[in-house]
Amino acid sequence: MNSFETVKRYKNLSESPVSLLDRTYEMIENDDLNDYITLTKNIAYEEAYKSEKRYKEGNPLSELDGVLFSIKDNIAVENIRMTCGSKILSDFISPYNATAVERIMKKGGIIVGKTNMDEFAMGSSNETSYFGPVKNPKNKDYVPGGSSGGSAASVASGHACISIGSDTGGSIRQPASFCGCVGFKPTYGTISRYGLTAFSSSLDTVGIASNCVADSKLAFEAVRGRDEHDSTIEDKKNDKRNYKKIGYISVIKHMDGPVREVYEKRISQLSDAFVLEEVAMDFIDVSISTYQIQTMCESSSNLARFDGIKYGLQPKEGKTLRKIYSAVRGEGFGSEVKRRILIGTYFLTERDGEYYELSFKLRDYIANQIDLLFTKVDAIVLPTSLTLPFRFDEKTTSPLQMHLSDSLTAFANLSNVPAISLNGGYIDNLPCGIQLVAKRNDDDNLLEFASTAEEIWSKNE
Amino acid sequence: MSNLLPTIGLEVHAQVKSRSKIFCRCAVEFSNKPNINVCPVCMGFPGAMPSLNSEVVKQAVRAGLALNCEINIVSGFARKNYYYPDLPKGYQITQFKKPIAERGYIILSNKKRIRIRRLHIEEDTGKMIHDQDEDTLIDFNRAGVPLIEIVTEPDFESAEEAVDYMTRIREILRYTGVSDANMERGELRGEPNISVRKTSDSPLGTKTEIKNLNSLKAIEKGINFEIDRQSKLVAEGFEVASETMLYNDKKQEVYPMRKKESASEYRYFIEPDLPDLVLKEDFVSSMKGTLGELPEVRRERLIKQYSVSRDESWILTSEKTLADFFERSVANTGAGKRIVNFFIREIPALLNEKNVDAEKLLFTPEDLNSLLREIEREAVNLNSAQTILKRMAQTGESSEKIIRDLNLRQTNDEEKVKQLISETLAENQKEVERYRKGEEKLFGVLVGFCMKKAKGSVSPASINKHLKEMLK
Repeated sequence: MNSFETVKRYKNLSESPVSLLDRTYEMIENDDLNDYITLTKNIAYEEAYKSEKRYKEGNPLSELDGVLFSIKDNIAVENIRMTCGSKILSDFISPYNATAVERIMKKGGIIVGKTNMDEFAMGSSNETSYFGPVKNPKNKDYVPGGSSGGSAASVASGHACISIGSDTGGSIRQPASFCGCVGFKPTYGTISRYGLTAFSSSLDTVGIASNCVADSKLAFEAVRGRDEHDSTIEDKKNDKRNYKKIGYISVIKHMDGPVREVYEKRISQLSDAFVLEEVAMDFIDVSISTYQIQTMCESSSNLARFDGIKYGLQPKEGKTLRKIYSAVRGEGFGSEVKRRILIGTYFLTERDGEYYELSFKLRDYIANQIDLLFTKVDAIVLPTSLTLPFRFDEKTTSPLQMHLSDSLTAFANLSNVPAISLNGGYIDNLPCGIQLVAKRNDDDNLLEFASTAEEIWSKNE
Repeated sequence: MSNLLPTIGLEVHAQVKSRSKIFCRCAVEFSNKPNINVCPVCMGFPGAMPSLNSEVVKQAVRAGLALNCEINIVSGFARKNYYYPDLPKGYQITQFKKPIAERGYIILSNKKRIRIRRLHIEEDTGKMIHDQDEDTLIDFNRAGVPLIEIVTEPDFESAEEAVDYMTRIREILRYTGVSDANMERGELRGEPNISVRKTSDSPLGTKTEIKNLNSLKAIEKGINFEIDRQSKLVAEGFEVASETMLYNDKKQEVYPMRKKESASEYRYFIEPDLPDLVLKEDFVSSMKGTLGELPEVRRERLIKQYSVSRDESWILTSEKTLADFFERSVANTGAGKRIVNFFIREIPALLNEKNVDAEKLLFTPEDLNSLLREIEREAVNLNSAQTILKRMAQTGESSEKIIRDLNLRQTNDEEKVKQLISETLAENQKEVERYRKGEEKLFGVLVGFCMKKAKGSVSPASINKHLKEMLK
C-alpha cells in the first residue's frame, strides 16, 4: 500500500477511507502478526468519515488525507492507551497527543492503531515486548527486527500505509530492513520528540516506516519543524543539491555472506549514475560501546518516572516507599529493561559519572570522523544490518549478540546524521536492507538520493 | 562548656515570581485546592518535555546582578536523579556544572562580606501531605514552580549572621521583584550547613545540613542547637557524622534524618532535553537597568536626603513598600525632623499592629502627605496627629475631614489664645495665686490646664509664650 495509489482511488471515488479502513481492520484481525497492541477504531472511523466527506466534496486536506497510519506504542495519542510494550504501562491512557501525531491528524491522516515494540524500545527483535513478539510478515518464523518491529511489520503487511516509529540506534531502519520496507531516521532535532516516550533523549528521533521513499518524504514534510514543546528542534536545512559521489565500504566485520551479496550487487548498480569511492568507517567499532553507555545511562533516568505513584501499574501491596517501588518496578519491567537500568545506574554512579561524560567525547570523535567522510563523498551506502532476519529466540540468550544488531546503525544516531534503509532484495525470501547515510541536516537531499537509488534498484531487480 | 568555632554556609531557595511554571504553562498560585495546576509536563507523563520559561531566566539574571554575581553567558541544565513520590520525573531539572551566575557577594548589616558561590535555576518538587488517616497524599501544584538556589561560601560564624543574611537576601529579592520571598509560604527557604572546629587554624570539621527551617527564628534556633550538639560531641571525643538533619519546630531541636548524599549518589548528568542556555550580552546589560535602587543604596540616600539616622534608615527600608510609602508621603514637604520622626514612630507600628503591608493601608501616601503638611505648619499638634492617623487607618477618611469633625485644628490667632488662657486662669485661681507667690513649678500644671481646655486646638508653644506674659 502506498499513499499515492490510495489517494488516487479516493479522488476518483473508487475507494473510500471508510471502506479501506473496514478492509484493513478485517485483514489485521484475521492475521496473526501481532503487529498492533491497540487498535484505535473509534478515532479512526471518526476521522475516516470526515475524510470521506471531504473527498466527496472534492476538498481533501492534503496528500495524506485518508491515508492510514500506524503509530508506535511509545508515541502518545490522546485518550488512547500507550503501553510502550511494557506491563508497567499496560493500562496507561495518554492525556495528550504527541506533536507528530497532532501534525499527521491535521493533514487528515487516519490512525489505525498503536504498534507493538520492544519494551521501551530496548531490543532489536521485538521479543522483549510484554505483549508478545511480532511475526515477520515476509516469513512468520522470523523476527521482524526492533524495536519498531510492529511499525515495520504493519507497513510491510499492508496493515497501514505509513508508520510513525522511533529510532535511537537503528530502531526504525533495522526492522525496515528485516521486513523489506523503507525506514527513515532524520537528523536529530528535525522532528519534535514531544510525546515520544524517552528512551535515550540525546539519541532518540521520531522515525518513519513506509513502502516507498515518496511516502516517507510526505510524512516527514508533515511532521518536521519547530515545536514550542521541544527545545532541541533546530529546523536547519542544507541547500538543495544532487549527490555525485557515493562512498561504500569493503570490509565489514561479522557481516553475513548473503548480506554482502546483496550489498555488492546494489553498490555496483549505482556505478552508472554516481562516482563510487571506497571509504573506511573504523569508528563503527567504538560506536556500539559508546551507544550502550549513552542509552543505558539516559534510560536509567528516563524510566525513573515509572514508579507507580502517578499512573501506570499500581502497587498491590507495600507499606513503605521502597516496597512500593520494588513491587511496581519489579513486576512492571521486563528483564532487558531492568538490566539496562541497572547498568545505566552503575555507569552514572561510578567515578562520578565519568563514563557518561567520556561517551560524549567518543560521540564527538565519531561525529568528527563522519564529518570528515562527508567532505569526500555526498553519501555513504552500507548494509542496514549485519545479518538477515533471524529466528525467534535465536539471540535472546546473548545480549551481546543482540546488541551487535545495532552495529551498522547506531553511529548515525551518535553523530546526529540522517539515514534511510531501503529494501535491497531478498535471499531465500528474507529481506535485506541497504542503508543510505548523509551529512547532518541533509535530509531532503538524502531523500532525493534515496528515490533515485530506489528507482535504479527496482529497474535492476 | 564553651562552644567551638562554628563555620556555617547557607543554601537559599527562593520562588521566582512568575505567572507560569518553569517548564510548562501551568499557573503558579498559592492555592488550597490540590492538583489543579498540573499538566503532562510537570506531572512527568511519558513523552512530555520541558521548555524553558524565559521570564525565569530574566529574573535569575536580575537576582544574580543584584547579588553582585558574574553572569554566565552560557549555562546549562542537568538532571539530579533520586526517587521520591513528590518528584514526578524521578529527577529534578537543575543547573549543576554551569550555573547561570557565580561569584557574588552580599554585605551584612555588620558590614561583613558574605561570598556567594553560585546562583542557579531549578524546578520545585510537589508536596507530600499526611492526612489524619495516616495516608500520604501528594499535591503536584508546586511541582515545576521556578526556583533560584543561592549558595554561599562557608562565611558565617554565628546564627545571627545567618539570620541577617536571610533578611538581606529577602530584602534584595523583594526590592528587585524577583521573589515575594515570603517564608511562611515557603517562597524563601534556608538550609544551613554547619561544622565546628577548635581554632580558626584547625581544618574544617565534618558538616551537617539542616532542613525544614521555615522561619528566621527556626534558622536561628536550629543553627544554635546544632552548634551545641556538635560542640558537645567533639568535646566528648566523638566524631560528627555527615548527616542531613531535620528541625522540629515544636521542640526547637534537630534530629538526624538521613546520611548526607554525595553528588555521585544523585547521578547528575546533562539534561538532554534542554539545549544550553545562551544569553546575549546586551540582554544582560539591559537587565542591569531594571534592578531599581537596591536597599543598601537607598539607605545611604535616605540618610543624606532626609537626615535620618542609620538605624532609622534600616527601619524605613525594611520593606520596599514602606520606603516607597515614606518617600511619597513626605514629597513636597520640608521633610523636617518633626514629620520624619512622626512617620518613623507611627507608621511601622501601625503596619505591625494591623499586620499589613504599606500598600494595604486604608489611606494612601497622598492622604498621609496632607496630614504631614498640617503637622509641618503646626496646624495640628502631634497628639492630635496620632489620633487623626489612627482614625485614617480605621475608616480611610481624609485627614481634613477628621480634623474638621473632631475640631483638632490648632489656632495661632493671638486673641483666641489669650482668651483661652484668661478663661483657664479664671477657672483655676488657686493655682494662679500659688504661682504668683513663688511656686514656679506650677507653671507646667497651668500649661496642662490650658492644653486640656484647648483640646489640641492650640500649640503648646504658643500657650507657653502667652501664659508666661499673662501671669506676670
